[in-house]
Amino acid sequence: MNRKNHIKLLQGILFFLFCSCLAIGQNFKPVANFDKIQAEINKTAESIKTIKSNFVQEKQLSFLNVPVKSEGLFRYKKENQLRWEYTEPFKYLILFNGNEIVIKDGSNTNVFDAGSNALFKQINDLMLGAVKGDLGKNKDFAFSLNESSGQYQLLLKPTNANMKKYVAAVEIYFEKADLAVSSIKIIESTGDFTKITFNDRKFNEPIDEKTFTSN
Amino acid sequence: MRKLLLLISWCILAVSCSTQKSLETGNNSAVSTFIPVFGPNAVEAIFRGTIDVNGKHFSGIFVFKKVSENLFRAVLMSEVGMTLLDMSFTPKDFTVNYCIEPLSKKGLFKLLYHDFKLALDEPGIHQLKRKRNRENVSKTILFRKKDSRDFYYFADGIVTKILSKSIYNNTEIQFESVNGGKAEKIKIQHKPVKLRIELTRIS
Repeated sequence: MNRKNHIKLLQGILFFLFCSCLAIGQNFKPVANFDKIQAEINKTAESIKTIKSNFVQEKQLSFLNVPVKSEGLFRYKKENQLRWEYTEPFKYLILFNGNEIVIKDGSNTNVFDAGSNALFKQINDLMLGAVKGDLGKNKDFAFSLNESSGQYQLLLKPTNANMKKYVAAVEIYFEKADLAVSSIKIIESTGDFTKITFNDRKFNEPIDEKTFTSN
Repeated sequence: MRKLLLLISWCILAVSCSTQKSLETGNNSAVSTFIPVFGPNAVEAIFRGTIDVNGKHFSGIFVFKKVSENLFRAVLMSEVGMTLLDMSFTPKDFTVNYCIEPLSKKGLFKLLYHDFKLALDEPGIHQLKRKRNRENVSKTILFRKKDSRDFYYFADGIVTKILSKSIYNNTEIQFESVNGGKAEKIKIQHKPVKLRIELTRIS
Protein backbone atom coordinates (compact mmCIF):
# COMPACT_ATOMS: atom_id res chain seq x y z
CA MET A 1 0.00 0.00 0.00
CA ASN A 2 1.49 3.36 -0.97
CA ARG A 3 1.47 6.48 1.19
CA LYS A 4 -1.53 7.96 -0.68
CA ASN A 5 -3.65 4.90 0.08
CA HIS A 6 -2.34 4.83 3.65
CA ILE A 7 -3.55 8.43 4.07
CA LYS A 8 -6.93 7.56 2.48
CA LEU A 9 -7.33 4.70 4.95
CA LEU A 10 -6.44 6.96 7.83
CA GLN A 11 -8.95 9.55 6.58
CA GLY A 12 -11.69 6.96 6.71
CA ILE A 13 -10.70 5.85 10.18
CA LEU A 14 -10.51 9.43 11.43
CA PHE A 15 -13.90 10.29 9.99
CA PHE A 16 -15.27 7.27 11.81
CA LEU A 17 -13.58 8.50 14.96
CA PHE A 18 -15.11 11.94 14.46
CA CYS A 19 -18.52 10.30 14.43
CA SER A 20 -17.52 8.51 17.61
CA CYS A 21 -16.74 11.79 19.31
CA LEU A 22 -20.35 12.90 18.97
CA ALA A 23 -23.21 10.60 20.82
CA ILE A 24 -29.32 5.62 21.63
CA GLY A 25 -32.74 5.70 22.49
CA GLN A 26 -36.33 4.74 21.85
CA ASN A 27 -39.57 6.04 20.25
CA PHE A 28 -38.19 9.18 18.74
CA LYS A 29 -40.31 11.76 16.91
CA PRO A 30 -39.32 15.03 15.19
CA VAL A 31 -39.00 18.00 17.50
CA ALA A 32 -41.45 20.85 16.95
CA ASN A 33 -39.00 23.67 17.71
CA PHE A 34 -35.73 22.68 16.00
CA ASP A 35 -34.05 26.11 16.14
CA LYS A 36 -34.74 26.64 19.83
CA ILE A 37 -33.42 23.20 20.89
CA GLN A 38 -30.40 23.45 18.64
CA ALA A 39 -29.61 26.82 20.18
CA GLU A 40 -29.85 25.28 23.67
CA ILE A 41 -27.56 22.40 22.71
CA ASN A 42 -25.10 24.81 21.15
CA LYS A 43 -25.19 27.03 24.25
CA THR A 44 -24.41 24.02 26.48
CA ALA A 45 -21.58 22.95 24.19
CA GLU A 46 -20.18 26.49 24.34
CA SER A 47 -20.07 26.31 28.13
CA ILE A 48 -18.13 23.03 28.16
CA LYS A 49 -14.41 23.69 28.45
CA THR A 50 -13.28 20.14 29.28
CA ILE A 51 -14.81 16.65 29.23
CA LYS A 52 -13.59 13.57 31.09
CA SER A 53 -15.38 10.33 30.34
CA ASN A 54 -15.05 6.58 29.97
CA PHE A 55 -16.49 4.91 26.91
CA VAL A 56 -17.69 1.46 25.86
CA GLN A 57 -17.60 0.62 22.17
CA GLU A 58 -19.66 -2.25 20.72
CA LYS A 59 -19.40 -3.23 17.08
CA GLN A 60 -22.33 -5.34 15.90
CA LEU A 61 -21.75 -7.48 12.84
CA SER A 62 -24.83 -9.13 11.34
CA PHE A 63 -23.28 -12.61 11.40
CA LEU A 64 -21.87 -12.48 14.95
CA ASN A 65 -23.77 -13.68 18.02
CA VAL A 66 -22.11 -11.16 20.32
CA PRO A 67 -20.72 -7.66 19.59
CA VAL A 68 -17.02 -6.91 19.47
CA LYS A 69 -16.52 -4.90 22.65
CA SER A 70 -13.75 -2.51 23.70
CA GLU A 71 -13.47 0.32 26.19
CA GLY A 72 -11.29 3.24 27.13
CA LEU A 73 -10.89 6.87 28.13
CA PHE A 74 -12.07 10.11 26.47
CA ARG A 75 -10.55 13.49 27.29
CA TYR A 76 -11.35 16.83 25.61
CA LYS A 77 -10.01 20.29 26.25
CA LYS A 78 -11.13 23.39 24.45
CA GLU A 79 -10.23 24.54 21.82
CA ASN A 80 -8.68 21.66 19.99
CA GLN A 81 -7.24 18.89 22.18
CA LEU A 82 -8.64 15.39 22.31
CA ARG A 83 -7.41 12.08 23.76
CA TRP A 84 -9.19 8.88 22.60
CA GLU A 85 -7.56 5.93 24.34
CA TYR A 86 -8.48 2.24 24.21
CA THR A 87 -7.46 0.43 27.39
CA GLU A 88 -9.30 -2.92 27.07
CA PRO A 89 -8.87 -5.48 25.60
CA PHE A 90 -5.97 -3.75 23.85
CA LYS A 91 -3.97 -0.51 24.13
CA TYR A 92 -4.37 2.03 21.32
CA LEU A 93 -4.16 5.80 21.47
CA ILE A 94 -5.35 8.58 19.17
CA LEU A 95 -4.50 12.18 20.02
CA PHE A 96 -5.62 15.44 18.43
CA ASN A 97 -3.58 18.39 19.56
CA GLY A 98 -4.00 21.52 17.48
CA ASN A 99 -3.03 20.62 13.96
CA GLU A 100 -1.24 17.45 15.02
CA ILE A 101 -2.77 13.97 14.94
CA VAL A 102 -0.83 11.22 16.77
CA ILE A 103 -1.62 7.53 16.61
CA LYS A 104 0.25 5.25 19.03
CA ASP A 105 0.05 1.48 18.79
CA GLY A 106 2.50 -0.22 21.14
CA SER A 107 5.95 1.00 20.17
CA ASN A 108 4.72 2.42 16.83
CA THR A 109 3.90 6.12 16.82
CA ASN A 110 2.70 7.98 13.72
CA VAL A 111 2.30 11.73 13.58
CA PHE A 112 0.21 13.50 10.95
CA ASP A 113 -0.35 17.15 10.19
CA ALA A 114 -4.10 17.78 10.15
CA GLY A 115 -3.54 20.87 8.00
CA SER A 116 -1.51 19.03 5.37
CA ASN A 117 -4.52 17.54 3.68
CA ALA A 118 -7.94 18.96 2.83
CA LEU A 119 -9.84 16.00 4.26
CA PHE A 120 -7.76 15.97 7.47
CA LYS A 121 -8.65 19.64 7.89
CA GLN A 122 -12.32 18.85 7.23
CA ILE A 123 -12.29 16.10 9.88
CA ASN A 124 -10.52 18.37 12.33
CA ASP A 125 -13.09 21.14 11.71
CA LEU A 126 -15.95 18.64 12.07
CA MET A 127 -14.65 17.30 15.38
CA LEU A 128 -14.20 20.72 16.85
CA GLY A 129 -17.54 21.85 15.42
CA ALA A 130 -19.26 18.94 17.11
CA VAL A 131 -17.77 19.71 20.49
CA LYS A 132 -18.20 23.48 20.16
CA GLY A 133 -21.81 23.08 19.12
CA ASP A 134 -21.72 24.71 15.69
CA LEU A 135 -22.10 21.48 13.74
CA GLY A 136 -25.37 22.69 12.22
CA LYS A 137 -23.40 25.09 10.06
CA ASN A 138 -21.62 22.22 8.29
CA LYS A 139 -22.87 21.67 4.76
CA ASP A 140 -21.54 18.10 4.44
CA PHE A 141 -24.45 16.65 6.44
CA ALA A 142 -28.22 16.69 6.29
CA PHE A 143 -29.54 17.07 9.85
CA SER A 144 -32.76 16.22 11.60
CA LEU A 145 -33.54 16.45 15.30
CA ASN A 146 -35.84 14.01 17.11
CA GLU A 147 -36.83 13.50 20.73
CA SER A 148 -38.02 10.90 23.21
CA SER A 149 -39.08 11.48 26.80
CA GLY A 150 -35.47 11.59 28.05
CA GLN A 151 -33.25 12.23 25.04
CA TYR A 152 -32.72 14.24 21.89
CA GLN A 153 -31.49 12.41 18.79
CA LEU A 154 -29.49 14.27 16.20
CA LEU A 155 -29.60 12.27 12.97
CA LEU A 156 -26.81 13.01 10.49
CA LYS A 157 -26.77 11.77 6.94
CA PRO A 158 -23.65 12.59 4.94
CA THR A 159 -24.18 14.48 1.72
CA ASN A 160 -20.48 14.40 0.89
CA ALA A 161 -19.69 11.54 -1.53
CA ASN A 162 -16.40 10.71 0.21
CA MET A 163 -18.06 10.28 3.60
CA LYS A 164 -20.95 8.28 2.16
CA LYS A 165 -18.43 5.56 1.29
CA TYR A 166 -17.80 4.95 4.98
CA VAL A 167 -20.99 5.83 6.81
CA ALA A 168 -24.71 5.69 5.95
CA ALA A 169 -25.91 7.62 9.01
CA VAL A 170 -24.91 8.72 12.47
CA GLU A 171 -27.31 8.96 15.40
CA ILE A 172 -26.12 11.20 18.24
CA TYR A 173 -27.97 11.12 21.54
CA PHE A 174 -28.10 13.99 24.04
CA GLU A 175 -29.54 13.57 27.52
CA LYS A 176 -32.30 16.13 28.10
CA ALA A 177 -31.06 16.46 31.67
CA ASP A 178 -27.72 18.02 30.70
CA LEU A 179 -27.97 18.50 26.89
CA ALA A 180 -24.57 16.77 26.49
CA VAL A 181 -23.76 13.82 24.29
CA SER A 182 -24.25 10.45 26.03
CA SER A 183 -24.08 7.91 23.20
CA ILE A 184 -23.69 7.51 19.48
CA LYS A 185 -24.59 4.92 16.85
CA ILE A 186 -22.66 4.84 13.59
CA ILE A 187 -24.41 2.89 10.86
CA GLU A 188 -22.39 1.61 7.92
CA SER A 189 -23.66 1.17 4.39
CA THR A 190 -23.79 -2.60 5.02
CA GLY A 191 -26.17 -2.11 7.97
CA ASP A 192 -23.56 -3.14 10.56
CA PHE A 193 -23.15 -0.54 13.27
CA THR A 194 -20.94 0.65 16.10
CA LYS A 195 -22.47 1.89 19.35
CA ILE A 196 -20.41 4.03 21.70
CA THR A 197 -21.68 4.85 25.15
CA PHE A 198 -20.05 7.52 27.31
CA ASN A 199 -20.09 6.72 31.02
CA ASP A 200 -19.13 8.70 34.09
CA ARG A 201 -19.06 12.02 32.19
CA LYS A 202 -17.50 14.96 34.01
CA PHE A 203 -17.53 18.49 32.61
CA ASN A 204 -15.21 21.42 33.18
CA GLU A 205 -12.78 19.63 35.49
CA PRO A 206 -9.10 20.53 35.07
CA ILE A 207 -7.11 18.34 32.65
CA ASP A 208 -3.32 18.33 32.62
CA GLU A 209 -1.60 19.31 29.35
CA LYS A 210 0.39 16.06 29.50
CA THR A 211 -2.87 14.23 28.79
CA PHE A 212 -2.59 15.35 25.19
CA THR A 213 0.91 14.04 24.58
CA SER A 214 1.77 10.47 23.70
CA ASN A 215 4.64 10.14 26.19
CA MET B 1 23.62 -71.71 3.48
CA ARG B 2 23.42 -69.45 0.49
CA LYS B 3 19.66 -70.01 0.34
CA LEU B 4 19.41 -69.22 4.06
CA LEU B 5 21.29 -65.93 3.59
CA LEU B 6 19.04 -65.06 0.67
CA LEU B 7 15.99 -65.80 2.81
CA ILE B 8 17.31 -63.64 5.66
CA SER B 9 18.07 -60.79 3.23
CA TRP B 10 14.58 -61.08 1.78
CA CYS B 11 13.05 -60.97 5.24
CA ILE B 12 15.10 -57.90 6.23
CA LEU B 13 14.07 -56.17 2.99
CA ALA B 14 10.43 -57.05 3.56
CA VAL B 15 10.48 -55.72 7.13
CA SER B 16 12.21 -52.49 5.97
CA CYS B 17 9.56 -51.88 3.33
CA SER B 18 6.85 -52.62 5.84
CA THR B 19 8.33 -50.09 8.34
CA GLN B 20 8.63 -47.41 5.69
CA LYS B 21 5.03 -47.97 4.63
CA SER B 22 3.91 -47.63 8.23
CA LEU B 23 5.73 -44.29 8.54
CA GLU B 24 4.33 -42.92 5.34
CA THR B 25 0.71 -43.93 5.73
CA GLY B 26 0.79 -44.72 9.42
CA ASN B 27 -2.00 -44.52 11.88
CA ASN B 28 -3.27 -40.91 12.08
CA SER B 29 -5.42 -41.50 15.10
CA ALA B 30 -2.62 -40.18 17.35
CA VAL B 31 -3.34 -36.65 16.12
CA SER B 32 -6.34 -34.47 15.69
CA THR B 33 -6.85 -32.22 12.69
CA PHE B 34 -8.15 -29.63 15.06
CA ILE B 35 -6.67 -26.20 14.35
CA PRO B 36 -6.71 -24.03 17.48
CA VAL B 37 -8.38 -20.92 16.05
CA PHE B 38 -11.99 -21.31 17.22
CA GLY B 39 -11.59 -23.71 20.15
CA PRO B 40 -13.73 -26.76 20.92
CA ASN B 41 -17.39 -26.43 19.84
CA ALA B 42 -16.92 -22.74 18.98
CA VAL B 43 -17.52 -21.08 15.61
CA GLU B 44 -16.48 -17.48 16.33
CA ALA B 45 -13.08 -15.99 17.15
CA ILE B 46 -11.93 -12.38 17.60
CA PHE B 47 -8.32 -11.22 17.53
CA ARG B 48 -6.44 -7.93 17.74
CA GLY B 49 -3.97 -8.00 14.89
CA THR B 50 -1.10 -6.20 13.25
CA ILE B 51 0.02 -6.36 9.64
CA ASP B 52 3.55 -5.42 8.61
CA VAL B 53 4.01 -5.26 4.88
CA ASN B 54 6.88 -3.70 2.97
CA GLY B 55 7.94 -1.58 5.94
CA LYS B 56 4.44 -0.32 6.69
CA HIS B 57 2.57 -1.13 9.88
CA PHE B 58 -1.20 -1.50 10.21
CA SER B 59 -3.38 -2.70 13.05
CA GLY B 60 -6.98 -3.67 13.57
CA ILE B 61 -9.44 -6.29 14.79
CA PHE B 62 -9.87 -9.61 12.98
CA VAL B 63 -13.18 -11.47 13.29
CA PHE B 64 -13.52 -15.08 12.05
CA LYS B 65 -16.69 -17.15 11.82
CA LYS B 66 -17.25 -20.72 10.68
CA VAL B 67 -20.64 -20.29 9.04
CA SER B 68 -20.95 -23.92 7.97
CA GLU B 69 -18.68 -26.91 7.33
CA ASN B 70 -17.10 -25.34 4.24
CA LEU B 71 -18.01 -21.67 4.53
CA PHE B 72 -16.08 -19.06 6.52
CA ARG B 73 -16.39 -15.33 7.06
CA ALA B 74 -13.49 -13.01 7.89
CA VAL B 75 -13.82 -9.34 8.76
CA LEU B 76 -11.04 -6.87 9.34
CA MET B 77 -12.01 -3.67 11.13
CA SER B 78 -10.19 -0.68 12.57
CA GLU B 79 -9.88 -0.21 16.34
CA VAL B 80 -12.55 2.51 16.16
CA GLY B 81 -14.98 0.01 14.66
CA MET B 82 -14.97 0.81 10.97
CA THR B 83 -15.21 -2.25 8.72
CA LEU B 84 -12.25 -2.30 6.35
CA LEU B 85 -12.66 -5.68 4.68
CA ASP B 86 -15.40 -8.33 4.79
CA MET B 87 -14.69 -11.62 3.00
CA SER B 88 -16.57 -14.93 2.67
CA PHE B 89 -14.71 -18.00 1.49
CA THR B 90 -14.84 -21.72 0.91
CA PRO B 91 -11.86 -24.05 0.37
CA LYS B 92 -12.28 -23.38 -3.35
CA ASP B 93 -13.13 -19.70 -3.75
CA PHE B 94 -13.69 -16.36 -2.05
CA THR B 95 -16.06 -13.42 -2.30
CA VAL B 96 -15.35 -9.89 -1.09
CA ASN B 97 -18.55 -8.64 0.54
CA TYR B 98 -17.20 -5.20 1.33
CA CYS B 99 -13.89 -3.39 1.17
CA ILE B 100 -12.91 0.24 1.57
CA GLU B 101 -11.25 1.73 -1.47
CA PRO B 102 -7.63 2.06 -0.25
CA LEU B 103 -7.48 -1.67 0.57
CA SER B 104 -9.26 -2.86 -2.55
CA LYS B 105 -6.36 -4.73 -4.18
CA LYS B 106 -6.70 -8.12 -5.87
CA GLY B 107 -3.22 -9.19 -4.73
CA LEU B 108 -4.06 -8.44 -1.11
CA PHE B 109 -7.39 -10.33 -1.38
CA LYS B 110 -5.57 -13.40 -2.75
CA LEU B 111 -2.88 -13.34 -0.07
CA LEU B 112 -5.38 -12.94 2.77
CA TYR B 113 -7.66 -15.63 1.27
CA HIS B 114 -4.70 -18.01 1.14
CA ASP B 115 -3.71 -17.24 4.75
CA PHE B 116 -7.24 -17.35 6.18
CA LYS B 117 -8.06 -20.59 4.35
CA LEU B 118 -4.83 -22.18 5.56
CA ALA B 119 -5.44 -21.07 9.16
CA LEU B 120 -9.16 -21.93 9.39
CA ASP B 121 -9.93 -24.82 7.05
CA GLU B 122 -9.22 -28.09 8.88
CA PRO B 123 -8.06 -30.90 6.61
CA GLY B 124 -9.85 -34.22 7.02
CA ILE B 125 -7.75 -36.93 8.68
CA HIS B 126 -7.91 -38.96 5.47
CA GLN B 127 -6.24 -36.05 3.64
CA LEU B 128 -3.09 -36.21 5.77
CA LYS B 129 -0.10 -38.34 5.03
CA ARG B 130 2.56 -38.77 7.68
CA LYS B 131 6.08 -37.63 6.80
CA ARG B 132 9.48 -37.92 8.45
CA ASN B 133 10.14 -34.76 10.47
CA ARG B 134 13.67 -33.69 9.53
CA GLU B 135 13.57 -30.72 11.88
CA ASN B 136 14.12 -33.23 14.66
CA VAL B 137 11.90 -31.41 17.12
CA SER B 138 10.98 -33.82 19.85
CA LYS B 139 7.32 -34.79 20.20
CA THR B 140 6.49 -33.06 16.89
CA ILE B 141 4.77 -35.15 14.23
CA LEU B 142 4.68 -34.01 10.63
CA PHE B 143 1.97 -34.61 8.07
CA ARG B 144 1.57 -33.50 4.52
CA LYS B 145 -1.84 -32.70 3.08
CA LYS B 146 -2.39 -34.92 0.04
CA ASP B 147 -2.16 -33.26 -3.37
CA SER B 148 -0.67 -30.14 -1.87
CA ARG B 149 2.53 -28.66 -0.50
CA ASP B 150 0.93 -27.87 2.85
CA PHE B 151 2.66 -29.38 5.89
CA TYR B 152 1.07 -29.73 9.34
CA TYR B 153 3.17 -30.00 12.49
CA PHE B 154 1.45 -31.58 15.50
CA ALA B 155 2.49 -31.57 19.15
CA ASP B 156 0.37 -33.28 21.77
CA GLY B 157 -2.31 -33.88 19.15
CA ILE B 158 -2.77 -30.22 18.20
CA VAL B 159 -1.54 -28.33 15.15
CA THR B 160 1.30 -26.03 16.23
CA LYS B 161 2.56 -25.00 12.82
CA ILE B 162 1.43 -25.03 9.21
CA LEU B 163 3.91 -24.57 6.39
CA SER B 164 2.64 -23.90 2.89
CA LYS B 165 5.22 -23.98 0.12
CA SER B 166 4.91 -22.62 -3.36
CA ILE B 167 7.32 -21.66 -6.11
CA TYR B 168 7.18 -17.94 -5.36
CA ASN B 169 6.29 -17.72 -1.70
CA ASN B 170 6.30 -19.78 1.49
CA THR B 171 3.81 -19.18 4.28
CA GLU B 172 4.35 -20.27 7.86
CA ILE B 173 1.58 -20.12 10.46
CA GLN B 174 2.49 -20.65 14.10
CA PHE B 175 -0.04 -21.26 16.86
CA GLU B 176 1.30 -20.25 20.25
CA SER B 177 0.17 -20.46 23.90
CA VAL B 178 -2.56 -22.99 23.23
CA ASN B 179 -4.92 -23.22 26.21
CA GLY B 180 -8.06 -25.30 26.19
CA GLY B 181 -7.69 -25.89 22.49
CA LYS B 182 -7.41 -22.18 21.66
CA ALA B 183 -4.23 -20.44 20.53
CA GLU B 184 -3.67 -17.12 22.27
CA LYS B 185 -1.31 -15.96 19.53
CA ILE B 186 -1.15 -16.73 15.83
CA LYS B 187 1.79 -15.60 13.70
CA ILE B 188 1.68 -15.68 9.91
CA GLN B 189 4.97 -15.08 8.11
CA HIS B 190 5.52 -14.96 4.35
CA LYS B 191 8.89 -15.47 2.63
CA PRO B 192 10.20 -13.88 0.50
CA VAL B 193 7.09 -11.69 0.36
CA LYS B 194 7.55 -9.18 3.15
CA LEU B 195 4.25 -9.76 4.89
CA ARG B 196 3.83 -10.61 8.55
CA ILE B 197 0.53 -10.87 10.43
CA GLU B 198 0.36 -11.29 14.21
CA LEU B 199 -2.92 -12.01 15.97
CA THR B 200 -3.59 -11.86 19.71
CA ARG B 201 -6.84 -13.39 20.92
CA ILE B 202 -9.59 -11.17 22.33
CA SER B 203 -12.21 -13.90 22.54
